[in-house]
Amino acid sequence: MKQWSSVFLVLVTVLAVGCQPDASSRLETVERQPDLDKLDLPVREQFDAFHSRLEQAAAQDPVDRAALAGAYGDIAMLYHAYEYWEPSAAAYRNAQQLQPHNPDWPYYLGLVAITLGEVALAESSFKRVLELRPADDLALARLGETYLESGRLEAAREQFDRSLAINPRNFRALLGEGRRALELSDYDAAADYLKRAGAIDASSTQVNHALGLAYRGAGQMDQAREHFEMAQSSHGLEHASVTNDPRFNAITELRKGSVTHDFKALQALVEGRMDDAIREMRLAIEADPNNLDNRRNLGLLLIRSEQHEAGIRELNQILLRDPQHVETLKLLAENAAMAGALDEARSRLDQALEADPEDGEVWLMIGNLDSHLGDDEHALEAYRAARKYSPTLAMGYVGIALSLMRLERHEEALEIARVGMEAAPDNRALRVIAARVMAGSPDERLHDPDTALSLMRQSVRGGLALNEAETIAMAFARQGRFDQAVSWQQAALAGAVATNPARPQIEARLQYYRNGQNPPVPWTTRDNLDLIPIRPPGGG
Amino acid sequence: MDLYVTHFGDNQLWRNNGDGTFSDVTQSSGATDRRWSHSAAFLDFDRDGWLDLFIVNYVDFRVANHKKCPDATGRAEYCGPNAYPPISDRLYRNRGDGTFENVSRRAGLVSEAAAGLGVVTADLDHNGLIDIYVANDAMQNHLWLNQGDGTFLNDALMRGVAVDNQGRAEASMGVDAGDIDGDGDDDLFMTHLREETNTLYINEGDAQFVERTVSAGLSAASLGLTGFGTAMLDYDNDGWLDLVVVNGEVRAIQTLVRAGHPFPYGQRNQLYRNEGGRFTEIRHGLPPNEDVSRGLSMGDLDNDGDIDLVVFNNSTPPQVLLNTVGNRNHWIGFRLTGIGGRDMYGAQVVVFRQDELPLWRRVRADASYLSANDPRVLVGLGDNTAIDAVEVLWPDGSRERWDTLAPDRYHTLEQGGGLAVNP
Repeated sequence: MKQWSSVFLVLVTVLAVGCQPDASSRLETVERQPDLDKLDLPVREQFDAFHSRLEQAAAQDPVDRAALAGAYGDIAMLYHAYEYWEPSAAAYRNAQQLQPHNPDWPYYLGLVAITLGEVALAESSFKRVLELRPADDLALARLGETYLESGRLEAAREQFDRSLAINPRNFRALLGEGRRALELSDYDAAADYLKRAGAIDASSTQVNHALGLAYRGAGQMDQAREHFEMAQSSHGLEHASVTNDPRFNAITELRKGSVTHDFKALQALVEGRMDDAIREMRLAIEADPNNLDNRRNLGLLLIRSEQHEAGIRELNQILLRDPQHVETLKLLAENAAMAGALDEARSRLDQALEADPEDGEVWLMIGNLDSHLGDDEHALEAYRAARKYSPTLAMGYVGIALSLMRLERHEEALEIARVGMEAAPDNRALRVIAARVMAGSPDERLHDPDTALSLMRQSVRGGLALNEAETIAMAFARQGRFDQAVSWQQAALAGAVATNPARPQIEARLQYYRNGQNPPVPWTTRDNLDLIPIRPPGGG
Repeated sequence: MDLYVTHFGDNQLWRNNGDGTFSDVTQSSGATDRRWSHSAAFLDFDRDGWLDLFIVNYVDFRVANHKKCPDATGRAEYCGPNAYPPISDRLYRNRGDGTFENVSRRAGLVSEAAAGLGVVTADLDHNGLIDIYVANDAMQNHLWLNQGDGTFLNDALMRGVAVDNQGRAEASMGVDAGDIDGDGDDDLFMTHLREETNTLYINEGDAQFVERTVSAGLSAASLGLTGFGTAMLDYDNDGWLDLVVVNGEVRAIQTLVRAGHPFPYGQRNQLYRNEGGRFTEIRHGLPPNEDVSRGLSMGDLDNDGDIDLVVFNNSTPPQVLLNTVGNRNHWIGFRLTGIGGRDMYGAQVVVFRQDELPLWRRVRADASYLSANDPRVLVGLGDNTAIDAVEVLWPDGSRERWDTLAPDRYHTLEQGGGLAVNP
């Protein structure tokens, strides 16, 4: 590996002289940043590799302009990804000089410019993209956003409209139109545009909040509140939709992330290298001895790698330093519950609540404990507290819905499952709960087996679990298609090992289907939510 | 005038002995807070005539729980607010006998913890009671509406001032309130990190706010800068409140790193002129600087009828900026006093002029970021010296009028010294 000195490395400005004097004379120097040596090794290696590629491209004789432009563009994107704005902009400009007909470089340069508040540069960059690719709906939307940021609302509207004429589902243009209408207090128009954006990305914080503003402006306060709350609860659930710009996502994908020892430990854990994970976590603690979170993580790693006593010892050490370390108390509670020491688990959770009465995860664990003991009323209260304090915790919704199912309050269960699915559309458990109410509730008003099957179809793509197969069987039975119901229930039964506590219930339901009957309730206390994979009947 | 000084550690209350010296009365007064405090404000929230104290707190950072916070590349960086648990703010009620009682829990403030940095107090919903607006770092801002019974209700989200127009909780630092659009109620302006805009919330009456950052021309000009201290002030005395923002990065600026700058965080400060609701940055309005600015105080330091500035910098000396243009226009200034000559924070002054809209200003020393201001009110009159009357809405709800006040000088208006006005 090439070692870099800390002095500036001035690259390539003059290397192309002789073969492309006009282009080369306009190239800017892209200096290797002086603090790159302080970066974590994988990130440094990334920069080294990109700089090396740039050097090689510049050293070609004669220069391959496309290759050199590509090398400048790549390094620009890398600096962009790590928010080194100025060298990123310089490298994009070089790429643009060398490859003036490639619309990507001015597009990215425009993104950097708008980040820095350089509106004129952003405007000229996006306009350049549009000269090269007039029907680029994303660039039109970005140009509209640039005008919006500079308060030129009419110019912004023009670009958004052009973008939408090309692609009526351009999320950024719809959002931009919505924002522009809000600026003008045109709340009805704003709501129209934002609803269309929401149809593309229902979990978008930006869309939901802006919709809340539109409803508030129109005096529809309940809807406003609902959307404000959705916006806030969807923070962290919308990673894929933050930008709705695939070109920008290409930048973020370059980031390797922070590779401190604790990060390396996490990587090792994900890859199943437990010994490496423990070693890295010990190094992290050595580097930062006061970081109790890392000590807690070491305890967790030790327990997971079956060094149980060492793990518990590590956790107890933390409590000596900070008796109210909530994360440690949670872990000790979880560990006690797994070992069947439920009283100890509850005591730890009570301690955690004393330290932080608003920790949603603690409430969730209390709910799980109560649910395990069959105390669904108290479980429901605890899950509701979990949802209140941690609205993004999908399992809070699941817990509430499940408790309501077990208390045979099916309509409420369905309602909360629906709300939960909006906040966490990928949560399979919520789909199961909603579908089961629609398929198997004794309350006929709630029956909707078609929608139930449709919900379950969304799960089939990810491989089916036991309780999902049972739910499909339930929906078929509700449609009167008992043969199908029997096949799916048999598949579920095949996936349930002999020790599965829900097995007698699965068998009982199978008998109902064989008799051409629907089971009386969609859920019992013996059902569980474990995602046990099953093989669908007849190859799916 | 007494002083309250916030710290990372024990805050301090210094009582003015009236002879050029101060006494530390923190312990005897009970106005203590050992946590990490930022801005603070004096206000009379219960309208009993005594100034109470609101303290904005940040996060539960202690040396013992110090963390390293590398950025995405692994470089050491400042820790963000989410690295540590946020803590709640504190409200002390002045008992009137030189001591304070902590009424935070009773007031409902402890229910919502956040990493607070700035605070401004004003009657934002026009119900005669002083409300509190807290600028929080990367967490929802708080709008504590005074319920009149000793409690406050945070309604920031529904009132449109918790987050920006796109639902993002921004890194709110400095804040100020004032009647930016001349419609008689106080609007809000806040400063934020680079890549976020500063934010202007216009009060549409009764504390229902709409964000108008873009329309006001304040968006693009702030995207590339990290703002801290701020003030709404009429620097040219034309009757419209202008804006000053002092800036300084919290992450190293690469061009300065490359230039070998030992403290590569400096950014220019900004003066925006209010041109009837739309703002234009006056690029040479403030002296050029490369400092890392944080605090900003304002007041008529040389008593010449215009607002001067003091900028507090990180690692370099503060700057005193004397206004050389304001008193080319006409003005009128007030000091509002109550019993014992105390400053009447929260009182509102309305200047009625011939053929022009009335000008609404309030008495305050709070706002900005880690700073305090001249409690006098200075109202720019432009070229119009014809003042019909001046009305004062006192914090206790009473209203008085003065009919013959001359322009271009300061007046002390004492409660009870004007003509009573029925609301």
